[in-house]
Amino acid sequence: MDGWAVAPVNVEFSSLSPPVLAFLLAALSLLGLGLVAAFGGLAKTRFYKTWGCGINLTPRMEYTATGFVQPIKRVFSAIYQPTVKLETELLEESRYFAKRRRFESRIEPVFQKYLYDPVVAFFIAAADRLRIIQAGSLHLYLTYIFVVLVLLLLITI
Amino acid sequence: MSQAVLLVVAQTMVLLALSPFIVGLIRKVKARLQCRRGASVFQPYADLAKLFKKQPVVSTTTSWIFTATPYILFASTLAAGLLVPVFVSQTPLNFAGNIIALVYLLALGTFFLMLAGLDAGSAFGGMGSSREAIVASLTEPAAILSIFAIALTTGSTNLSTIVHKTALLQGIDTAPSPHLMALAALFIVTIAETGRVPVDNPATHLELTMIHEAMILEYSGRYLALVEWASGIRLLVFLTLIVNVFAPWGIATTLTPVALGVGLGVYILKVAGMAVLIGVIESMFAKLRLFRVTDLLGVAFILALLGVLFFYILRG
Repeated sequence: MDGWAVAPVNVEFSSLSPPVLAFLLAALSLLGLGLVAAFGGLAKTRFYKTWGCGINLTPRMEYTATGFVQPIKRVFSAIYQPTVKLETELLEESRYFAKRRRFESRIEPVFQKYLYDPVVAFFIAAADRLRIIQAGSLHLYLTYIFVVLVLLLLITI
Repeated sequence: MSQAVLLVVAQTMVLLALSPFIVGLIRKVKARLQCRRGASVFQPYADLAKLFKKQPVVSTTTSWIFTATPYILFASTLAAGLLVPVFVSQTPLNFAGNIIALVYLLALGTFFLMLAGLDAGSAFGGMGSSREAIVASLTEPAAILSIFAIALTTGSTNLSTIVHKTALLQGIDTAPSPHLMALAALFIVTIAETGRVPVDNPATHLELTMIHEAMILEYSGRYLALVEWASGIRLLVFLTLIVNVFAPWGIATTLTPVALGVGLGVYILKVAGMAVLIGVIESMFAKLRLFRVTDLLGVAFILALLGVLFFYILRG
């Protein structure tokens, strides 16, 4: 099986063969098709609307991204710290009717705030400092080239 | 070479043929414990045959993902099953993938099933996918860690090597505690990944409690048959993993006809025993609330982590 598998120095420990796995997946999908043909024949598919307890589904009833991540947000609430704010302005005549509602839901962007932002800030600060030597003067750049050439010559000697 | 191909084909046949029986056996055990006679253990075969013959109905709002998913799920689950030693300790496809490949082949099927659940646009499918996402993302670290605990004790992440060495009692130089903790963790993972009772209820179609059933609600006919068969195979693969990694004795370590026959017989007995155990557990516990499931999976993760730590501590 040489040439087909990725393995560390110690072959006993582990080995993995993506091409064989890909071949296996393709072959087994064909097996699935074959089983379908063998057991049932290929009855023509009927197309019909999605089942929705007898009412007509509208796009508004679909699962949204916010709804989808709700369990993850809740389980890892210590990390993401989700906050929900609902402000309601009621009518003066009756407390049962709202004049205006404002809903706000946000999570703490943990990775953005504590991982990426510090790295970006560091490089921007470093670039700001380094701007001093890149002032746009052609004479200065020619001097740099000259200095580097001299240095390289000195090193090779 | 031809011997290797024959073994792979035989293993595919065993997985395909045995998985509906295991599902039927669990249902029978549950029925008996509820003082019912229950359907025959061979009922799932009849169900599959009937589903294959029925005309499928597909939602008009779906994309190609919906019709491709049953085949992808079936193929990835079966491919995962071929990496596990079933009745022969040294599978020919051992080199193709280690235990990490196994976990992620199963995850590939789960991923597509989640997409298919969202595809039809029904709220039930979305709910099922959303819940499956959290359960799958919490079981994955526990599964990987428990398997690492075993891999450390045997010095290999390839399942055939692990099973072969354990079957011949080679290279097990540490105390059994990492193994036992990994076993407990993997058992919880099995229950969660195959949608069994404390986590999900495979027998329910009650909308507010289901996970797996909610995702496959839109499937019918041959597509449903493939999805059901794949989930049966998935259950069998996990049970095989448990029995063969932790108690592989009896498995065929050589390729003589007698050893192969004994290996197959012992394998069916062991897996049937595990199925009875799952049936008893399903009858003894009530389903957990969704947000209590995370506690159970947390326990599995901690157990697996302890298994890994104990290996290093005991080795000194």
